[in-house]
Amino acid sequence: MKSRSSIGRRLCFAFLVCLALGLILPMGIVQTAANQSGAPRNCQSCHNDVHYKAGFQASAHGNNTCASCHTDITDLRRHMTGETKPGPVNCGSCHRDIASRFKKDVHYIKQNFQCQDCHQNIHSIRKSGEGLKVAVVENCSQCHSREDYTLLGHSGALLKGNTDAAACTDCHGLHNTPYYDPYLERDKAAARENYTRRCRSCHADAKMAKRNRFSTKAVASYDESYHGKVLNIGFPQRVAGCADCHPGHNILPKNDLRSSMHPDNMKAACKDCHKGFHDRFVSFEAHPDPLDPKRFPVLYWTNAFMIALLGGTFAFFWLHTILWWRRTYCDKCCEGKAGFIENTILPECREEKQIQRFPVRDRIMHVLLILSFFTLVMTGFPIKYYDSPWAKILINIWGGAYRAGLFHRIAALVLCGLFLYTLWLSLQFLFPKRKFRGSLQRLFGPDSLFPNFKDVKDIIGMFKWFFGKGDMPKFDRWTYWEKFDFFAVFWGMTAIGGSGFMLWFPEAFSYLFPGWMINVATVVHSEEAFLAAIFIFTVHFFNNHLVPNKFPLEPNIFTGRYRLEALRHERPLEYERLMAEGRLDAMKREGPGLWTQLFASVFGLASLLLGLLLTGLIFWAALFY
Amino acid sequence: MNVDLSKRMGNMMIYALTALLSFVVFISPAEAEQKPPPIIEPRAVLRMMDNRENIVFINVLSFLECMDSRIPASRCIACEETGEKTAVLPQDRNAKLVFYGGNAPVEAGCEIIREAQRQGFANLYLLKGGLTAWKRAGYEVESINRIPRVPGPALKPGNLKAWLNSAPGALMIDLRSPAAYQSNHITGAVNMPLATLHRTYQDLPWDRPLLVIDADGSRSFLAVSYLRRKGFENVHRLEGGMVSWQARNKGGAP
Repeated sequence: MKSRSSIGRRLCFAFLVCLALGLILPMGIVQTAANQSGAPRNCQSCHNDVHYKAGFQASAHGNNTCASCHTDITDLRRHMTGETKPGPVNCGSCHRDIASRFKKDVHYIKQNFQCQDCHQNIHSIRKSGEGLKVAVVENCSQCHSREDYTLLGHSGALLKGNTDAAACTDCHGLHNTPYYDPYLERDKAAARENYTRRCRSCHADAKMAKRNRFSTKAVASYDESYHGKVLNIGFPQRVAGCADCHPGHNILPKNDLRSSMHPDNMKAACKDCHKGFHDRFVSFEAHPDPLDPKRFPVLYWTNAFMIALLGGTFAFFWLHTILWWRRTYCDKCCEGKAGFIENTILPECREEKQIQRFPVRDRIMHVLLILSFFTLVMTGFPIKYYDSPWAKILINIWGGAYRAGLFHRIAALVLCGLFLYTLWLSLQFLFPKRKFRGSLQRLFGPDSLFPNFKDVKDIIGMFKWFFGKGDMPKFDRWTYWEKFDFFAVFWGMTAIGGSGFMLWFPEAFSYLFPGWMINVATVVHSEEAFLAAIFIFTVHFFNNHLVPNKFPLEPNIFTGRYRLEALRHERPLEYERLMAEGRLDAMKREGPGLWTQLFASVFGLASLLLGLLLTGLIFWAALFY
Repeated sequence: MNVDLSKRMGNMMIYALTALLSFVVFISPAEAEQKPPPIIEPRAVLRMMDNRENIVFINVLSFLECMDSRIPASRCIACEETGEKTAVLPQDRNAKLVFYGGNAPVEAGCEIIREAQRQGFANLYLLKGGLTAWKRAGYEVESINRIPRVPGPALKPGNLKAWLNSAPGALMIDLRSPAAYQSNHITGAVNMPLATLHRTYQDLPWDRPLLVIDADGSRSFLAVSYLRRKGFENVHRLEGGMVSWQARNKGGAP
């Protein structure tokens, strides 16, 4: 019994010891920790300002102790005697993301700011919730002048309670306000790109626009302007972004003298990039809408005309092409079934008699035309369809938008040279040795590329042939579609070249035309480019190369030679004329050499394939972007 | 006639050669001395440090700025300061000295660089983009004696005249170098270079409103914070500094 009771007593004693150790010891540790590491109660006995008491308890950091942030205060006695002072707090130990973003922030990079410089009320800081944007404005405007921001516009709406309106951080970023070095060109471009993107993030948002009753057209129309397209393709260095014309923070109505959009101030914005323009230059519209007849009547009707021209040309020639293909395909099938062998699949024989159709000069001109045309298409269309997936790839093949622009201008000059030379040749044809007599006969004669009454008859005859109502018309030296090709270039060069030069030298042209003519030139250049490219790559390609009896390539523009048989078959009137005039024998030549044939095949087929590829890309972009 | 011409040409050649020779002999050493050091990218400096080369960074900004934020182990010698400060240059003449300022290119007339060239340091470099490029590249900096920033609005150049009228006793302090101050300054402003502000601030009147002016508005914020910490309560800064002032006013008077 005794032993049992002694065991019980021992157990009781052990239990009490454990209890004592369990209760008192941890209390002692806490007490020690409190004394030594600065728990809130002890810190507040000295730091008894309201910020450190009730303010801190209610703050966003209220669940933390003082030592959570002031980790270097480990000995309270040494701190109280002033032997150790708190070092800088590392907010990044908890706010890791913000700390890492802040390393790129202008406030850190330029001014060596630390968290507490902006968050001066760090001990009583609260979560702002819905009032965050107003709190941001309040905080930023402690240093940054408010008068820039708070006149009208964004801030007016924000301070009235519209949380859609932009606060400082919506444009400049929070804890990652980018730093742009004014001494670096690439930084200026990066700034332009960034702030244009920021503006777009709200002004292109349809839902936000609907809520706040503004139009997203401002962004859409900017994107379709030269400035917008070039910026979007990735070359912001030389074009205006939003903030270049809308500088400062106050977005004021146009009629306000302080507004950058006031006509008196607009010149200053333009002058940052454009030099030496006439005052009427500022009538250029940076946000044109060709579909708005009230605000932009000339632009509207120009656009309507261009669309009608495109529609009319393609409607006629595509129909013409389809019917031609159908007819020729039918003929070919019938011939095949009847056992005929198509002429074109006979191997070309060098001994076969051929005639000289194009002199070397014309062949070189055509090669140069092809090279310059492809260069223009491949450098211009990425700008036109800047948002298509292939645009940036194509522009990078040229080494970026700047170089592409350079190539575009060089090719344009080559094409202009060819155009002027062709004009000179035409004049020489009409007035040989400056003789004016007989020029009318030459103009409407069979060797001329000028349309005449026979062409109208040929068109009608061709359509009759398409439907099996007659034979194919007999053509002379130039068919009506070849004449159209020739004159389309004349019209196209005037329209696309004229508008192109206006876009190249807008300041100089402001002495001749008002600034809004640049908008008109943009529409003409863009639509005419589409017309020219697609016409060449579909109609010209088909009529001259892809038509079944010539497929895949008619090489005579490269070789200069025309098979006599083909001449008699395709241009019987010319053949008969040459025979009657006794000129045919003088024109007979040997067939083209091997190297000429090889060049004609490789260059011609490569051009055809490239053209067809580009057609695919253009249609893809036009239909889906 | 032709003989005369060729004789005259011959004489001219001799004069030209003499002039060229004297230029090479007498002028070029001085020119060579004034040639600015080559510019070096932060990354290249780091590579040199990895190769354990003896690199010494020299912060040519003001003492206050240098103590506030600098590349670790930099020496603080402001461009304007030489004299006793030259002792801060290292003893080893083969050490590679990398000078840096803020993001603005270090001034061509930076006195401490010339002094280093005079003392025969062979390897001198200017850090491209200065401290800002260093920070931008994500490299570490140290703060020896950081000045806590004191928020406060800046005065716009357009409002300066009105402010001076409303504060008749106001004093304008131009923080730029004496040379920059000499070339142009706002009428009435006194020159107190930022490089020596930590020694001269006590000469400022405690009871007058102060307006601090710098070159482009990027350095006055720190100066205002410093003066506010030192007890000057009514201190303002000019937004955009002299650049923005000059863009608005071509003359000197406010």
